[in-house]
Amino acid sequence: MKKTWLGIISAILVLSLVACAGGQNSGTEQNAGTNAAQGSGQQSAAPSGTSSGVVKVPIMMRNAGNDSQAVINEFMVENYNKLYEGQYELEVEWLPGVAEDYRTKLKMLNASNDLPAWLYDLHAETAFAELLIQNNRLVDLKPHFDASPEWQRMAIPESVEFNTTADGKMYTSPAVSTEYVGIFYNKEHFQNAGIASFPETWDDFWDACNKLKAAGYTPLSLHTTETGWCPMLLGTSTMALSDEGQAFMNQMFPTDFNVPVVINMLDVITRLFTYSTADAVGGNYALAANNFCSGNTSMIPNGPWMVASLSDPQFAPEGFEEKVGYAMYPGKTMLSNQGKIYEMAVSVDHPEEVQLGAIELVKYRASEEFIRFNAVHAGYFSTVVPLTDEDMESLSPVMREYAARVLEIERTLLRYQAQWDPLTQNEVISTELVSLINGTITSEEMATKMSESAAKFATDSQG
Amino acid sequence: MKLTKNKMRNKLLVCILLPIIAIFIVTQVSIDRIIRPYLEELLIDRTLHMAERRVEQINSLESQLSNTAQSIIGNETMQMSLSGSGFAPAQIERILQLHVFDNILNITYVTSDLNHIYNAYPAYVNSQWVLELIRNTDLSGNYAKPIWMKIDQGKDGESRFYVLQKLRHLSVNVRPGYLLYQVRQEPLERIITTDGESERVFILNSDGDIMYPRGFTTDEMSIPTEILSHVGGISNRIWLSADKEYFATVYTSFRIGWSVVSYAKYNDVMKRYSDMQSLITYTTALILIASSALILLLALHYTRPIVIITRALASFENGKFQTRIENRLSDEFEIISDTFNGMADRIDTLISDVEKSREDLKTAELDSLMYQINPHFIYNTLSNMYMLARMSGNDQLTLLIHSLSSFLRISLSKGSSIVTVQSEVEHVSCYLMIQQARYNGLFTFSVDVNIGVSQLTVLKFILQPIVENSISHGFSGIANGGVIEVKAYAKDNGVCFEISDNGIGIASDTLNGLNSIGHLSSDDLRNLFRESEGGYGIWNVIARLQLYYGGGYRLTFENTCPGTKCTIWIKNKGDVTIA
Repeated sequence: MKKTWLGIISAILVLSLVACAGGQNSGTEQNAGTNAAQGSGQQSAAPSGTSSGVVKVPIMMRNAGNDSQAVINEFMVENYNKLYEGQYELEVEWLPGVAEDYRTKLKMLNASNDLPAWLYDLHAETAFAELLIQNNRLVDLKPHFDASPEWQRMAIPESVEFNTTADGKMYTSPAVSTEYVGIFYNKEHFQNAGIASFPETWDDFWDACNKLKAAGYTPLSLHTTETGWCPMLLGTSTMALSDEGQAFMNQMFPTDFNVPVVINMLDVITRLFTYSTADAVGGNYALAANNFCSGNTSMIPNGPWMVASLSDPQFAPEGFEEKVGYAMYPGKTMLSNQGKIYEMAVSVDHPEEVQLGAIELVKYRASEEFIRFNAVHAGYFSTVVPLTDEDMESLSPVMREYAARVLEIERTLLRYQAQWDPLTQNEVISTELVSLINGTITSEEMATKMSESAAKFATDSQG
Repeated sequence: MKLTKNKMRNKLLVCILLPIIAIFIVTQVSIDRIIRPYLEELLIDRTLHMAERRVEQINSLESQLSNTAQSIIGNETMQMSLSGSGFAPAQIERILQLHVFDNILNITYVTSDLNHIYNAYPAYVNSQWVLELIRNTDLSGNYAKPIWMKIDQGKDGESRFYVLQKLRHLSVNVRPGYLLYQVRQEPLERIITTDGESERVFILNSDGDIMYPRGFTTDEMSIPTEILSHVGGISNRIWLSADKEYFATVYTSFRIGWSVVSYAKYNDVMKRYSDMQSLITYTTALILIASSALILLLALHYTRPIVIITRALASFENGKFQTRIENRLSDEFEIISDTFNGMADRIDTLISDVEKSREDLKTAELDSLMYQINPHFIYNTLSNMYMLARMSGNDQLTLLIHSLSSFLRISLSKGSSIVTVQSEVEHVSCYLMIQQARYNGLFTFSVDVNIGVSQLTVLKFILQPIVENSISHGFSGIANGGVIEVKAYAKDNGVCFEISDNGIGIASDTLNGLNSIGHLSSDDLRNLFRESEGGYGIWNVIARLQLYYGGGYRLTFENTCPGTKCTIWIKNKGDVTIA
């Protein structure tokens, strides 16, 4: 009996020892996630004790302003994160501002060596893009472009050439689609003023302005801040009518603005403001857009990206979009850079794996899915991905009208924003336009100031 | 008696200690198999959390400086100073002062041409030293990335922390200026402060140089090279070495390029676990020992009386009937011991009675044998005398001799103690006739035997002492007129004798005594009649009846005023059926 009990106890002890021995863990070494997302003020998102394996790609985008940016950007983020689930994830800092706010913030981040991984809308200020290139702030996309036949197929050849540096690098991505900038107009106002169709010559345009004014409408939505975007679009379109004008606008960072085509352009702008609202002088783009969408004015020069806001209750009353038409500038002119712009880039301020995630985003923007969506919602058209009948059906009436106008274009002109230096745009036009309109300075004096600032920019740039 | 105190104790010990040992083992196994890995996981999580928190503190510090830098860079005056558009020096100093707060002690701005130095607080800065610092710092290829530096300054070699950064123009590619921030040590001190004594934390730059705390060399850190090789790497890492010697983490702030290295001996980190395990082990062991002691005490408490009782039973079994449990026992054992002692007393008494009976029987048998020798001679003599008396014509003598002869014959009964009712009544009749002759005219007698009981057998000599008592005591006060009646009849499956006289009766206390003697023990009976006068005959009857019949008889006396009636009922033993 005693032996039986001892046997049971011994068995339990032996089992326990075996169990204890089995419980010893082997040593571990683990990757606790990367600190790659620490850029742009992002906190490391690697969960405790695990390696998520997902690379966070910090980017900054706008989701406000009366344009299609919010729709396009949200579509992009959602689909990119779905496509690269488990590999990359966009960490978006949504910027509640207009395009200029984004650019200003971008400059600030660049100066503090803290750029987002992915940059876009660089065409809005070419000089800044070039500053980034000159200072090696961007990743060379060429190897990735060369390795992707699909990307090459989608890219506009002229844009590939434009975005390739002399030494064969590609710091900015080539455009895969292009948009054309014309003018929105209130068809109801035009009809009430007895204007049958949008004027195709400048004389007819001024006539129409007078008729609108006579009918009790304020013809134009304009503003002077933010480089005077709306008046500058309409004003510079006059240069499309002459070879001199075209030649001038083909210059990158012109230094001499004291030329007849520019003087004429400034005169036109001065005259345009006589048909605008009282708050146009000193006002900003948002105010001008609001005046148009509220029916206070009859026309606003702007690109197709504005179409989305026309049916957005946040910006326009219900049914307003049906009253809006889209037209070319007089002389069947529309502004377009035809791909000769800096579009997107990837910054060097992040680890390589984050850079790769950002490059994938550039490539996604060159995918058929995105190009089609961008065409339908923002009016960026691609010759490689033409709109299908189904796409055409899904276009809004204004966008459909825009598409029809694009087919009728006789003249295009490069946009001033992509061609002129930032000092001229930001420190002269934005501030001196008021003086010009008020008559404090003449067009010639304004042109001189522009030349001086352009010269200074040229000097400064040389270091 | 095979059960011993050791066997019982051992069984108790095994039955109770085995579950406790099992619980102890299961507890130990559970701790090692479940709690330990879980705790290890918790410690890893905690270590990771701490490492993340530390690097976040560095990032937070960097973020503050980055925000400050952006604020200074975005200032129009500062931008103008870069583009050479003209600015007021006092304005710049004021801007710098506005940005000195929290973890920033001072800010210095140096123009791109290194010709002008502006300080938030000039008194604290040696301009020449600042210029040399900028000249000696490799800023080639650095656009605007802040360079974090530890510089040993002062007489005691006190470390100070500086951040040098190029001040860039936002839009134009002009030559940059320089911003130099002096940073407080407190945030770094907070980062390396641990809440446990076992963990050591160091802040290293990407080259592996110790930034904080000061006073250490890389060798003095005593951190394995394997860990230090990951300093400055992109991936954050945590180690639990294969031999479980240490826990370590390397978390790098990508933005600054500094790594926070934490290192702790596994055993030190797990000390809380070890303490807990020891506590459980010691507590369980203590419970085990205390339980064992308690069980031993309980076993002793309960097995000792059992052993005493067992020994007493064994002794009793071996014939030592005087064995008694003398020890005072507790609980239910007291009842058992009292029961045992009572039972032994009774058995002892019974055995004494039996032995006494045996002795008495032997004596009686001896006496009987002796009597069997002489009575035969007497009997033959009486027969001769009877013949002579008859031939002489003396009828009274003839009857007397005949009665005496019959009396003796029945008395002898060939040595048997059992006679028929008929013989017993005849025997008492002969006795009465002899006594009538002796006490001439004193009494008369009658005998009535129911025929149905005449052949039943009874113990002999049960009637003679009764009638003798009537003659010698009942008729002690009279000279004649006494009457004695003897009856025998069937009753209650037995025979009932009634012996009545008309004598003086029996005193009431004596009567009570006689009626109660049937319940007395043999010794008490003996003592009772030893003390009384002339009662030996009755005692003899009662003693023999009790000895032979046990409970199968009844004997009662009653005063009949006048006289006494003695009734003896004897149960039929079944040898003869009552007619």
